[in-house]
Amino acid sequence: MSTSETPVPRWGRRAKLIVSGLVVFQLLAVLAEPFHFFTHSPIRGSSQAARPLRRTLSPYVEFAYLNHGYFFFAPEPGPSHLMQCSLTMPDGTSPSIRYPDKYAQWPRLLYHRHFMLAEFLNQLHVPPVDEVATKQMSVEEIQDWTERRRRFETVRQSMENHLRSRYGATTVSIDRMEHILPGSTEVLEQHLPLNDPRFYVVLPDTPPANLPTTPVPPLAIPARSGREKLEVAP
Amino acid sequence: MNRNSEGEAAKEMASSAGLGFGAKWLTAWDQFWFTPRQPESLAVIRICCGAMLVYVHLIWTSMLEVFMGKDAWINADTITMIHDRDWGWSWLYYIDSPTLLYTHQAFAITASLMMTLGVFTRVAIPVAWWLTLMVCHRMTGALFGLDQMIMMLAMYLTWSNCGGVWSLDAWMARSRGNSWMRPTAAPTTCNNVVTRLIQLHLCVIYVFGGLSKMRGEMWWDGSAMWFSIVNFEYQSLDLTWLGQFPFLIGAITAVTLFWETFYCALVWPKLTRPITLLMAVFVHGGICLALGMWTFGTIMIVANIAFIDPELIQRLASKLVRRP
Repeated sequence: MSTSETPVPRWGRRAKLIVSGLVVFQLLAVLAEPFHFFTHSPIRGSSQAARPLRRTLSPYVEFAYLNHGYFFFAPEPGPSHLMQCSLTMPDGTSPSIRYPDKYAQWPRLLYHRHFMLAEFLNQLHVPPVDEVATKQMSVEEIQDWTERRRRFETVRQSMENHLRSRYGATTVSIDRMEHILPGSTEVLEQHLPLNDPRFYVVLPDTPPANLPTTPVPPLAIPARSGREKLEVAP
Repeated sequence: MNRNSEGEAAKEMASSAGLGFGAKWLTAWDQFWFTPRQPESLAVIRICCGAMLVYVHLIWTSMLEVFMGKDAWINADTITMIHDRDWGWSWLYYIDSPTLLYTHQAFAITASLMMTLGVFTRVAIPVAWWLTLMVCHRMTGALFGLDQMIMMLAMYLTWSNCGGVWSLDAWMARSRGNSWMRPTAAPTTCNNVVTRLIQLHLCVIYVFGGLSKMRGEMWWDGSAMWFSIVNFEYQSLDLTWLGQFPFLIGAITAVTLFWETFYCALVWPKLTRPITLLMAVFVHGGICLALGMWTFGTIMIVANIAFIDPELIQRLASKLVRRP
């Protein structure tokens, strides 16, 4: 409750001018990332208007953790991505663990942290390329692919090392897994549970041409596989 | 606060600047940003955001070595590589000693708790923001909308007098008087600047959230809501029965899309503000209950408090206190 009647000094013109400048800077920083992200095109890059703004403000935007696109459940609510972890134990057994697991990780926020790690690994994924594809790529494309592939492999290796240390396993391998979103027919007519094993697909880490196609049955609201869409932001 | 005198001052400022037509804009700018505002709305945001920060840090601390230790999911070398092309930086890149990590988290929890209770808010809020920022840059890959929102709110609250009411600072100020460390409960311009920044930041979040959905086919054909409620990894409440009513699914999808896109316009007029904020409670309440993100849903509702008049919050609080 307000109890103080102490008069508060008004701001002078100079203070208002300085704060106005800072406010404009802050608002540009808030706008820079979503504008840059929103105008991005895989072929032409980002808008010419967005690039200089984002580049100029990047030290502040990135350090202050303002670099968000705000693509919540957009452009479409996509399938979830999980990590299927295969372990080999010193006694010869080969248990398998799936992350995230809403029944194993509690409270919910802890579960969500693991969920985001699985989505992060999937977002970083860049498929390997075969020799034929490499010959068709420019030097810049090869450099870009090499760098992005290195990032994916380093993160996956770190996660595998974590599990090896945590469970005392001799070897660990992580596969990305997609949980296809079921359609209305499967849920309401066939009464399949949402976590039916048929909705889980292991995503191969092979050159794109070798990807197997996932059969999609005709449905009232057809099931949703992530490969159809452009991008997913959880 | 006397708004007329503020307006007059702005007009004088505008006319002395000789801006002619621009004077109206200058007056509007001055009134929008520099009209003193009471701290009650920001105080509620401070309490809720501080409590959420405490919870977030407790969860990190519960599995600290798993997330930030030597053999963490994303180890120090990897997180350094992830940020090698940007300006994200954390001193936690160089720390994997359990003792130091637990000490860091003890400070973060203490600062967040002080922010909630309103103890030395001038120092506690920036410290809580900074320590959480360090954790955010260290934990890239495990973050989501909740982290974006608490960081945004804590950053802005740093510059306000939100500790001027409903805080131990205010309780101490009664006997010792106001000082820089014990902020005033009177209306101040910095409260207004902070409130406006939160409001505009929210508008940016919603407009880009809405526009990005408009790129998607499912938000137009009405199936987006269905595919949200059948996502097993998010689901916390089974709403698949809604699929029996396709009209309802389509209507909820359309209303969500239009509300989010046009929030930035509808939240300002007095006529549409209550319904826009009520929709925010429904949408984010739905995320809390059905999509298992009660933390994110709650903090979004909390952020919307920036649009509630502090005098209204003060009146409601007075009624609650008087109730036997």
